[in-house]
Amino acid sequence: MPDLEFKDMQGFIARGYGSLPAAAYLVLTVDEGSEARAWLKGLIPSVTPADLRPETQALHVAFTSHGLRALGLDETSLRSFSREFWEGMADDHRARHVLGDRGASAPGRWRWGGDTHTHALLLLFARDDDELGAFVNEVRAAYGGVRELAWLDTFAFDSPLEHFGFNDGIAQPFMEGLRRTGPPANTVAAGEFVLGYPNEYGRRPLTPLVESDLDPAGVLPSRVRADGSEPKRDGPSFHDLGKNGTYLVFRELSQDVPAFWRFVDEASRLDDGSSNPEERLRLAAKMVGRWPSGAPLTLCPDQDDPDQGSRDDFGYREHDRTGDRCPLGAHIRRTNPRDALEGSPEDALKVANRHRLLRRGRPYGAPISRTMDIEEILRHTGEHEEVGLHFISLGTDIARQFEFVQHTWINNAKFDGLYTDADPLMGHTGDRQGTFTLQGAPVRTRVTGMERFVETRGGGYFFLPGVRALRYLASLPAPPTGPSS
Amino acid sequence: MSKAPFQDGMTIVTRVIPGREASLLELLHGIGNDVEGSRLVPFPELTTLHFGRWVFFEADVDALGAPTPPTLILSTNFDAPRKDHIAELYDRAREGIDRIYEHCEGYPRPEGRTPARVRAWLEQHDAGYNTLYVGTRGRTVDRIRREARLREAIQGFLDEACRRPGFQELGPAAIRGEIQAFVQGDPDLAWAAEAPPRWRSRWPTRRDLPLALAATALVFVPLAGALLRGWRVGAVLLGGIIGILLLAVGLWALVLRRRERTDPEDPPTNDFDHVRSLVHNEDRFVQNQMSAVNRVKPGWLRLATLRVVLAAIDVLGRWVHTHGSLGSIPSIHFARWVIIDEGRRVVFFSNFDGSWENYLGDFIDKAAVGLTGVWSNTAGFPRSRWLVFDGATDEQRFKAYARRSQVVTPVWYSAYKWLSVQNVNNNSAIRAGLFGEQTPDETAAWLRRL
Repeated sequence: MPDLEFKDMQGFIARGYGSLPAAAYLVLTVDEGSEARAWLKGLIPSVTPADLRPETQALHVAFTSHGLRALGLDETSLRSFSREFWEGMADDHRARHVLGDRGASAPGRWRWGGDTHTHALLLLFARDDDELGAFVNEVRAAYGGVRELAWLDTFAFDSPLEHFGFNDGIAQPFMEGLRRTGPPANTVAAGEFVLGYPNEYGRRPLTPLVESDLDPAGVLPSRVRADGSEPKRDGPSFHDLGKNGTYLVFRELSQDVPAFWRFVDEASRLDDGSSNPEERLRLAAKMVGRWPSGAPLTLCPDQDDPDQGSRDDFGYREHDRTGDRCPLGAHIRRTNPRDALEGSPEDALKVANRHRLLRRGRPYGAPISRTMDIEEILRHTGEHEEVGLHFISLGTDIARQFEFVQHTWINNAKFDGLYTDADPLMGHTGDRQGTFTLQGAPVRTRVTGMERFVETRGGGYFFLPGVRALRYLASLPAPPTGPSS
Repeated sequence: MSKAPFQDGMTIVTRVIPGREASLLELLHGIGNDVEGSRLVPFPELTTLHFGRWVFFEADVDALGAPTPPTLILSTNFDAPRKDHIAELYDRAREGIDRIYEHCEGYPRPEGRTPARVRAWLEQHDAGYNTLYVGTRGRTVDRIRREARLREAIQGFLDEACRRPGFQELGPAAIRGEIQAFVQGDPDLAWAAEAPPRWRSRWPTRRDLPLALAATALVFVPLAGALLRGWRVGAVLLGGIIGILLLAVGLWALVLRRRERTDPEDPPTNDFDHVRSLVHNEDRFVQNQMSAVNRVKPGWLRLATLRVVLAAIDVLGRWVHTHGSLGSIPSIHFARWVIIDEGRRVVFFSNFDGSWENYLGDFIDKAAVGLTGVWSNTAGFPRSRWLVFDGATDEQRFKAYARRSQVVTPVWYSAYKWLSVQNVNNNSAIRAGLFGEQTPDETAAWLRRL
């Protein structure tokens, strides 16, 4: 395992900044290429590299393929990125058939990201809202050639909650080569999350390249062939635009919290038609696969146990093969099946680890109930500020990681031998035809008429470049026939 | 108890008349764009058809650069016998068949075109297959659909029953009894009381003949020698045969290994526009398909190796992997390899559940050895070692190779597109365990299938 070049890597790959609870994301469009390149050049010293552990604030920058084109990157280089990135998240076929962004979630109805004008994403982190506000103003004051399309706020819960009321962000793979290490079963090769290093197949992931003629100053590292492997003596000459960068998937996911709890409340009523709070919580936990504290149902089948709240060191085969504890189709069992799927537990785990995501998202919007009091949520009527999750994941292969999880695991009604059970929180289409099966003895129970509680409001596929790649992008010559300069 | 049917594969390979390609493609896309509503080929009326496709291959070249003609392939997975399938096909889809094959060389001219002549012409062009894998052994289209309806009815009944206070406390046997009573009370489900036909392998089939002959030679020649001339002669014969075999395999391996070191491999990148044309038709519902063609590497050694590997997988598919999963891949309905163009190219047709990315991932994670054994004999495949190693494990290069090999499938039909292989097989298990004696453990396990 080669040493990671932390200096050249944006720090967001190495850490999620738990100590910087205030965060905002700014979506930008490039109006004028040469001014935007000058702006980017000025921004680079503020971008936080991975060899620093920032105490007060952090800044990161990422671009869509449209954004790279607007900065002046040539089409041949653009096509050396992955097809998924080149096409973008809002591509019609992808949205409809891979990601399930249909109906209210269709890109045509997004707040941002559904068109070709979404070019760049700035991610800002600070210690509190005041410092964040000042930081945002400082960054805005420096804009040149770019214009802000959206300002995406976040909400910091006191503990790592998401808006349905469950502890979130527990299952996170450890990346090889970082100081923080974890159990081998949950440790994933660096090449899964950062370009330029061996991945879980022992190969370097495909990396975007520019012909060496287009980098005469040698800003980018060379020494790779077109296919990303080590060069032969007479191989073609390319410079590596991807090294120490990665792909960043951003999705603005709104959560209909009252609808979720009302649905669960209805589905868990007593025979006399009255609410059954205990059963209601149990059903919600069954859908998630964890109790509100985060305790996994596979370890705590009967009731919540806050002491087990951050347990991530468990599998499904040994105690829960049949799904009697954590249903086969529960959210956490499909977003990370651990050892549950085909083959031996070891093989299943190995395969599952080829579809892991580094999750870096944060919730947004103030909750209806600060204490996550379900009765209060159910009593709430009328309008309320939109709440949800700014989902962010990092990975070197969008198709094999993010899209695979979304399509093959979350949206797939046939997951693990099921029939009509998509993800109970976010996998259904809204036609109320779907089911949620709670395996059990002597026979299963089943919730019918499943709804969709999460809608996509915006998003994009971004490239989070290494520091040298940022310098290269800032120094691109104006395209000969372009409208700029 | 009736004998269960045998699902077979038909691969009708025909040459397209030069100049008629565009017209043919337009016709095929017209059928494929509304595959369930096509008047020309009314697929839903075909009772013998599980999956079917028409694929068109443009004029191309083989691995040595020699031309391969424009080719149309009709590939079907059907309930045997073949003659009934072909008869039904031409009976129901006469207009479509005529219009399609009028684009092909040698199709009976209108004046002398009788159903008998057309059927004979189609049979004559059936290239069969080198390997056929079936994930849902021994079940007709009709049975697969009926068993799916049976399960849905039982699930509906259970949804209601579970709302009854105390239902879960009845215990497994009583719950099964209630389900039985429900099924018996519905005349539409009465058929389920009959035990399903059991699928029994026929040994040896004609396809196993080469294997059977080889085994016979290996066992009976020494045995006969021993019986007729004494055990020493038998031992010498056995040793001789094994020695010759080992020598041959050793020589083969050495030559193969030398070639492997220098065979060129294609890059791990793809033309986006080509991939987009394929992706456009994918993930429309739970099942997907792949049609691919590859050039066999030059020389008899590669072709012979390919034939042996394909025959071996065919045998394994029929005798070992008969319960719905190939190794630990549980998502393949039907797949086949067929060598065409006198051994110069090999096509692969597959019907599977889930995404292409998942399918290829399964290939790499769970079946790399077998797939490398096959496709390393074709040009451009990622570098292999000793025929079956490396190759497909070069993930990105293998995925790029697979995409490059793929062609758009203008017409593709599935008779039960809402069912996964796991669904089909579970439905059959539900039906099989519905009636009859069971131990308490068996009943508990059976209820888990619901």
